[in-house]
Amino acid sequence: MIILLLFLFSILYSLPNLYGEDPALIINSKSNKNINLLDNIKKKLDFYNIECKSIYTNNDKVIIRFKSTNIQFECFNLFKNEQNNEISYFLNMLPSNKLYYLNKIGSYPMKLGLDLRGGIHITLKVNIKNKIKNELKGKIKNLEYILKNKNIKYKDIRELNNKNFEVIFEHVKDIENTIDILKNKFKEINFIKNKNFIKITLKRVKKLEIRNNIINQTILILSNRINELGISDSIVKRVGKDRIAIEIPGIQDLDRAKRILGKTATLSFMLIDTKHSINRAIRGKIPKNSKIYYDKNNNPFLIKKKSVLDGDSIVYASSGFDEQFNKPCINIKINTDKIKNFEKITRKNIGKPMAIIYKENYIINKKVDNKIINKEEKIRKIINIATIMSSLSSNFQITGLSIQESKDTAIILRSGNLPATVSIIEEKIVGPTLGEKNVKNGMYSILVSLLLIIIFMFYYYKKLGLIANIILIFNLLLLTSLMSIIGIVLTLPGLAGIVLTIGISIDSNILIFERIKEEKKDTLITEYIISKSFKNAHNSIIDANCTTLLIGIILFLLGSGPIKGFAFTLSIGIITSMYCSLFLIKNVIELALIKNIKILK
Amino acid sequence: MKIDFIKNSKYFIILSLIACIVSISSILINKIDMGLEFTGGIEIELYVKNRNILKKITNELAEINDIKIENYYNNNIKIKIKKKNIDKAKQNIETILENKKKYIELISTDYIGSEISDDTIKNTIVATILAVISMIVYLSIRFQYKFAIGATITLLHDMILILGMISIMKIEFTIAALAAIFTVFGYSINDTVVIFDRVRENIKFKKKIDYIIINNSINSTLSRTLITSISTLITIIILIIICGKILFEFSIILLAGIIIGTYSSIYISTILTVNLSNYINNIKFNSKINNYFEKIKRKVRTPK
Repeated sequence: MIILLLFLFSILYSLPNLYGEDPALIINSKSNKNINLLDNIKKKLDFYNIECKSIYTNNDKVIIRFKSTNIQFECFNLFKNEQNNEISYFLNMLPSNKLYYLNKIGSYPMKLGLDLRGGIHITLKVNIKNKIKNELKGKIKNLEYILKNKNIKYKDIRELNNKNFEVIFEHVKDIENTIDILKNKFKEINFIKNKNFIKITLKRVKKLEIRNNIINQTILILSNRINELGISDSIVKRVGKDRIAIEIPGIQDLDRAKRILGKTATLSFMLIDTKHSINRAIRGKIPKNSKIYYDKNNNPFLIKKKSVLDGDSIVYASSGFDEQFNKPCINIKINTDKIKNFEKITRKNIGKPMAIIYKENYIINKKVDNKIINKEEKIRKIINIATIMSSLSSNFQITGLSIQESKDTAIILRSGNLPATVSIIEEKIVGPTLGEKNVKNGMYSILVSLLLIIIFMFYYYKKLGLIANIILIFNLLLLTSLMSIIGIVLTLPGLAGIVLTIGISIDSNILIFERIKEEKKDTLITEYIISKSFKNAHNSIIDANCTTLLIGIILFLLGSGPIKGFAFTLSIGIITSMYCSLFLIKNVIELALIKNIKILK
Repeated sequence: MKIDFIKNSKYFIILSLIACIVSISSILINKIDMGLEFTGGIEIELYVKNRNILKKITNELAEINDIKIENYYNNNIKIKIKKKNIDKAKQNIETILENKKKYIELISTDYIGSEISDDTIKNTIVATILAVISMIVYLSIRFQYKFAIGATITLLHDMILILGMISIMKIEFTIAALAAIFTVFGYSINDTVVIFDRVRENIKFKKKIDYIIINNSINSTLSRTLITSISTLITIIILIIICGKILFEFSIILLAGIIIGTYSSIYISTILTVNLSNYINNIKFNSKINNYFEKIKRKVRTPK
């Protein structure tokens, strides 16, 4: 009885895999206006002559299903180019419509990995060291102030090997008191006495806190950026201490994705220093509170260091075209808190020029003394200089970037800036055609090898072989249903793992059958033969399968990506095959005996 | 039909030793072509329909240091650089390809930075050590420790032969190849365990491991070993035929591994275990060695 239930169960949960997925476009209207979205879109599809499998509404969203990913992308691009900010478009692979009832019981097709679906996988390293250093620097400033306040005489504060700081003293006896005072004020810092200086480092707990905050924030921001690209089933997750793995399936514009993901870019509004001469500054006499920036044509300008408005005051940004000259522009909305200050400063400086500066930080790998280190580089360019006509308020436009730059910068400003720079340390891209080919080949290999084994078993063991085949098919059904339920991602090595499981699971059955053959020589009583064979074969089956299982588990724990998928399918396959050949086969044979089928002839 | 395996054991041991020596020398001389995941670097596969543009791209790319360009049939090219620090080269490649984006269809890209490749190497070594230790522990628990040692040496023998084959056939040692080796690992132990299990059963009657028991055990499990190997081989051959290039390293290592594993389980592990067991038993009862130790003790106590 239980077997039948199990059988039904595994069929139900394996079934979705036969139906595949449809490339789909999900359209959402952001505004509350009562536009008949469905009709609008139908008209557009007719206009662009795009063929779709079906189009319908679901919960205020319009869903279009396509026959292929190419048509899906084409439609997505055409719609996106219309520049309608009220409507959002999302690409997705949706399970087939016919599976509605199956979906209700939680039965979905298996998730396909990148090498079967096409897409991009990126591992980013988050440059936390700089952040920690900056945090320490900030605290050191406070420290200096306090030491001066308490009249503690020290020789110098200097930076040690790029990470820590130390305070050097004249007299050793000052140190003890100083440490006590400092420890009280700075609970997050370690003070270590060493001869005549104190070494200063951030406490481990604080470092961990900074690291976790940065990574969590980065993951959030990256997820937002990916959403902006229109992909809804992407994965952004933390890997280890300071890495983030991003997986975006089915994306077409890979370069753009990489650009947007890795950028730390912001805009700053700064006043131009009209009091001092730019020519003198170039020759070396740079005034204290100013800095030199260059614009697109490499003309230098002297800019006051203190910015009027920074990127983090920007609440919303979108790209568009300005009304006067139809040039690409970014529409900006500022934080209400910062508006007052902004208004004040612009009012004071009416008639004066203000520069809008584009700032971008990125990391490159440089070889220094035979070691490869990550070095942070900055781009600072003036994209536009505007004269302040009146006091500026919360909404305004900025021009000076190209269309693509405007669009990308708007996305980055909208999603927020990355708290620390990131560098790409691993990148895998699988094009969609390769993905589809892999799936087909994988499926064929499973089917063909299954068929051959079934024929072989039937030929060699006759009726027992039939039992072995039933067990094998059951095993595979269990395997696929488990994989669909657990939600493990299937990769090409994973498919190979399934093929291997077919071969290895047969092994356990063969052990039993060979034993049966041997025992047949001694007695003729069917029940006795069978029970003795089972008993003897059990040990072998358990030992042999456990050793391979151990290997599978080790591979799973230490492997990554596709290898993990392979190890997982192999391990689960071994577990299901152990269950099938230790318990299930007994039930099947008992059933056969009850029905008086002469299986041993 | 009973085959006497132990009679010709000497020849098989010599055969294995020769094979091991050939393998080791090939590994030292030819070295193993490590895959991208271990060395770091970049690998890009493209399809360019227009032959002229294909030539242009190939020429421009050829100027980059350390680059390898493989030209397949059908206007496919594969660009490879296997080095740790390739940021500049990567940018150069991207610039060259960016200009001709319209004519290029990207089939796949793989970029592994130096950090990731270092990690991969570390994980591989840890995984190997873990696997070997867990094997030894498991086998020692379920069988006698002599079996464990015999099985471990057999495993090493298998690994040397497979690595030798990889080196001779110039197969690229990718992470898929590594997974295949681990699978062969498990499969070979699988086979060995089945035979040992039969030996363990037969020992219950006689308390000693000797050649007769081994022979009987191998013979009785022979049919099972053959059929399992055949069925697993069928599945691997199907993988090679259908999935072809993509899973090539993986499949061919599995193929060779299963054959080598079966052979070593039948001959090497059994012979080693028997010899080891005899050797240890001999030590216990060998009075010659005991006398030798006594002599040394006396010499140390009495000064000259």
